[in-house]
Amino acid sequence: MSSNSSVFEKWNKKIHIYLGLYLILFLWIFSISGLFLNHPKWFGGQPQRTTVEKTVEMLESDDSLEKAHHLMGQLDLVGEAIFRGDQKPGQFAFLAMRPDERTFVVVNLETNLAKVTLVEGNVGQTLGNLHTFSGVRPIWGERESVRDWLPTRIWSFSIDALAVGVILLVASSLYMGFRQRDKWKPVLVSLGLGIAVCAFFIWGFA
Amino acid sequence: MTPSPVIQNTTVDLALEDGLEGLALVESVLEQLDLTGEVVGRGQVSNGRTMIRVARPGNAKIINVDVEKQEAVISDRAFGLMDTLWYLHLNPGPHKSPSWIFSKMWGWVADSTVYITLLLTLTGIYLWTVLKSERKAGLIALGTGAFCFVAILYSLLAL
Repeated sequence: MSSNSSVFEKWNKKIHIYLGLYLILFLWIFSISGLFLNHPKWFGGQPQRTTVEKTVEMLESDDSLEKAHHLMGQLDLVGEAIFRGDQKPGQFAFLAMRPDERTFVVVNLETNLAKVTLVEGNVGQTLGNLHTFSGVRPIWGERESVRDWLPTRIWSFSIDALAVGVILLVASSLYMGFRQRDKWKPVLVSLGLGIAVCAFFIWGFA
Repeated sequence: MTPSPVIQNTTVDLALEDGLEGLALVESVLEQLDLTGEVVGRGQVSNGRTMIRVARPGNAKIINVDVEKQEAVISDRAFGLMDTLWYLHLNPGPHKSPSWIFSKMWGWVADSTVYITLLLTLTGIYLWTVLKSERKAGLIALGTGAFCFVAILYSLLAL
């Protein structure tokens, strides 16, 4: 029993160290970007907008995503194709999004002329977009949200993996804390305070 | 599981001064209804009506004020745990500076969590560096994580 316990303790410590070191840059970027999202004035300034018009060739297809990818190829755009709400009659519109830039494309279906507006964010806005860049967000009002860009899928998987990793890190810390009987008091006090603050904000105003 | 939100509408009489508009109108309505929270609405009256939204974690009230009839229809939305966590995760956020004291306090909690997380990671790195037996494997974990991080960011930002 004690042998099993010491094996678990050894691996718990190892997992804590290796997982923490593996995730550290991911943890830093989400921590810092979260801070910047709460303080948008720290990186003030408006994003830069430039608009150009180009003639494009529309693909004959019923699949909007296929059409958007065909246009992105012609316009040399990469990113997640996002369709905000319904298409207006006579035009085909979508947004090609990356964390550092958004490109709004509106094609006049009669003239095949595409109005392409590039919006480039600053460091703070890019960090904010990285924090929220999952490829699927209700705020965009997409009829059907699909992650259609490989980096988006990898990034959103990283977000999930980080969340699970942080839970494991906290659990392994708690185990290590409770194994040290002489430190139970401060461990319980800090854990209790954290739970009390969270509970206050979750249930205190309902 | 209870569907979220649970909506309940009630109509309440108000006593509003003639010509009251703007933030004074908002303050007067909230005072009479004894409501506090994160307020959205500037009290601009259009067609004799104005709308005020008062949000708190787990609860949002949308108040449709009929200035001429001197009454308010309050739509009370009670949210479940997941929606409350969602609200707290998104707030304060980049779009609106918090005005309610508890929203500000939650912002401080969120900021403190970041600072404490950064401190914990730095102390964690220090503790790892003094463990000689874990140095090699730790460096591999750190290097692999850094490589994955840079590769993913490169694909997101530079491709």
